[in-house]
Amino acid sequence: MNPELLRNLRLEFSLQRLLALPAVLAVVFALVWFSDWTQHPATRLYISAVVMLYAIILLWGVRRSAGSLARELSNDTWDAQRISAMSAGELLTGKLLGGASYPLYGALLCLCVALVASFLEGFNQDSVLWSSEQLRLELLLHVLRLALAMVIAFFVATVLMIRRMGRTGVSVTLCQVLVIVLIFTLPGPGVVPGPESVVELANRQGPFAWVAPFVGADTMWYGIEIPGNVFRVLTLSLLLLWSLLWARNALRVELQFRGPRWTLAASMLFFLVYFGGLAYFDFAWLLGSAEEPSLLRKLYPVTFSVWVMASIIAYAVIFLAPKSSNEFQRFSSCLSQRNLRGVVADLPSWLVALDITLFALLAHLILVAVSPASQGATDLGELLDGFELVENTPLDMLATVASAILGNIGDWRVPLGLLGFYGLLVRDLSVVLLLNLGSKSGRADLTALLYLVVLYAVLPALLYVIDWDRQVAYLLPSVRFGDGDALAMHWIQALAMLALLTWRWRRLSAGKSS
Amino acid sequence: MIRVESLDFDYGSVRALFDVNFEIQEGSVVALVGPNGSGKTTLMRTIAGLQTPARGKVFLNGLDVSEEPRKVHRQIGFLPDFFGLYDDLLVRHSLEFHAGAKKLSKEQASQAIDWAATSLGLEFRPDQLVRELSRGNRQRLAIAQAILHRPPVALLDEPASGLDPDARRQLSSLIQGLGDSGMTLIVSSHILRELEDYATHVMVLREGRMVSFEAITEAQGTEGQFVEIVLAEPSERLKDVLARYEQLTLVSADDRSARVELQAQGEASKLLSALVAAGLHVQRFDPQSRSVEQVYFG
Repeated sequence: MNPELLRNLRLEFSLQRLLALPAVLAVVFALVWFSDWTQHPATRLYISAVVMLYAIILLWGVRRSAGSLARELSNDTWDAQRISAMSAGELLTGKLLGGASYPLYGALLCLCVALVASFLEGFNQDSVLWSSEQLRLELLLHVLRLALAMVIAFFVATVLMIRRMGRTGVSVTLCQVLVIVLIFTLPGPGVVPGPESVVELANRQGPFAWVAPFVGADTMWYGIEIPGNVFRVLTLSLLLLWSLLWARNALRVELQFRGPRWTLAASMLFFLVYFGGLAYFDFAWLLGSAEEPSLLRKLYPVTFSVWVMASIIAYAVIFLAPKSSNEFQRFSSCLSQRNLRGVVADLPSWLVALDITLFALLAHLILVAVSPASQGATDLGELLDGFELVENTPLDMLATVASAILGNIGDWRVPLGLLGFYGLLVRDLSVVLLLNLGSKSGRADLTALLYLVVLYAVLPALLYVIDWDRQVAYLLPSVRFGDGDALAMHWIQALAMLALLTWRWRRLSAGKSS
Repeated sequence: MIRVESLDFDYGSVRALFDVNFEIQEGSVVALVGPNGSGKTTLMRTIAGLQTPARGKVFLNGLDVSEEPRKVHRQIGFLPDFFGLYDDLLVRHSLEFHAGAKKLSKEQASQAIDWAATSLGLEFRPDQLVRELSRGNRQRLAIAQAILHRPPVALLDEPASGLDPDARRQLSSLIQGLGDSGMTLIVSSHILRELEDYATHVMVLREGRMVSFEAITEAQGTEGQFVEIVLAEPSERLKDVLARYEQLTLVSADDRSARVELQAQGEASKLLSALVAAGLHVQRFDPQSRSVEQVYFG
């Protein structure tokens, strides 16, 4: 048997604890059964069992799984596990299932009660809040969603622990809050079904199709219509699989495994393809263009959204991936020795993410270049300059900007704007790396975050105050598409930061403290 | 058994190890000494494959630690300076967990647990909760867990800290026994005198640099061996006899006692014979090994 699982089971279970939880749950369910709350007792039992299932996992199980590595670190037992012969998979299952085995035991009891209740005479399916014609499928969705919550909490907490970004309960609570927010926005059975109008809206082809998986509507993916529940089960299953692979990968890094970052690259590509499929629509046509939609025009939003997703993932990777100077130096020495195997094995995660983002940008550029017709782009800067917030709501402004971006999406100046944004991505990555190679590398990411807040919020606000509106575009992703000086300024900043980074790298390689 | 080549290790922009090179033969017991912050723990963790160096290579039993860390982990027993135990487990379950984690079969695990528990004096406490163990017994359990799979290499970071004198003596004989059985050990400690009991070599680290790496046992029998001589009753002839003896340097002497440094191996017995032959009543004749302290302080 998996020794880590066995150890956790020995710690979690005793005869008293084994009996205590069913007793407590029995009291709760008995109170529900005999209460005079509306509906039939079986329906009440089903609802309370599902609510208890969520409460046990989200309030308790998630904390146990997120805290499993934190407990090893605070007990100083992690090194002994790292140096053991246990595989990353064994550690993952041992910690995930073993560390949260007691809450999982409670969750299993609740699930059994819900299933039994659904077979009881008088059970009224239609009166269940999240009613659907496929109750068993709904239960499967609940289980998938809660399993995903636990795995994501474990993964995020593991990354935080590995980066030594906190050992306390604060990190665990942070993971718990993050997961609860994430889980209630992910495609799954909505606790309250989406309003009929939203579902109807989501069923229409167009930008609102993004909402479809979130409200249980049928989903169009690359033009293929997929029934809502099927899409949700598939989405949740794949997300669960990826999050398990990420968690295993994070543990492999801690066990000192070296090797290509296949999991990161493959999962990034998966998400790009997944979200690209939801964006496969002709936005210009939807927004009133008289032209017949062509395949190329349908692909504009795909490559555009792929680039957006790639950039978001790249930023997440830049901050979350380990960035020790030792690893950089090994990678650098493999490069200089032209040791291809070493280069592939030591390739930093942020470089993988940055490369994929560049490929996404190139794909969009190529698509626009081969496009037979380009439409005139709206100048978003001018559009916003003429916008009066006194007369319009912020939502109106968002709608205006969204419409303009969607209308512009096939214009050649959009990818140029994106190229400028890529420069900012390179600049920001350089800031993060520069600080990580410094003498206070322990808090480097937090300091980098502060720098970025200054660059993206404080400085632009100051420039606005002194009426240097035009210069704001030098610091922010430009909304003035095709703005040549903004593009140049973005890349000047990127190159300056790269030069600084190179300087620090050389000092470090020479063995001097900087 | 362990070969370290041009090893550098950085914490951010701060270099913790500078160009460390050495080779340790099988069965050696190396005392790793140095002031706090000299890089002892960093060196041990790097050899154990728990962290990646900036440059350089570590080979353990022919395996490159950076390339095959997991294979190396199976061949190592490591006791960190701040070790932890599972307080809510029984001692037996704790040992079983570590045997399982090292992939020992049920039979092997049972034998390994018996051996480790007996060697460390834990055989009477298998059903005690770990939290109820004394400081010394916790230390013994941690060492037992680290070596129960009898690895060819054991790295023990400050194993004697917190142990009472009896437990330290027991630990010394255990380490000596492990060394005699062919296990290669690196042991760091601040208690230099105790390292002498079992160390075959001493390695001194200062500010991340290896300043010396010497075999103590070889140094003991050769040049630089000191001898303390004390007579039962004072005699003026003591100085004359010592002055006539060519193979020594007189460090200090009076009518009752003397301290000399012998020039070559095997001279101690000849000197004793010469003193006795001169009719001196020798009460104490104490050849002193070259101590770890002497190596450490240069």
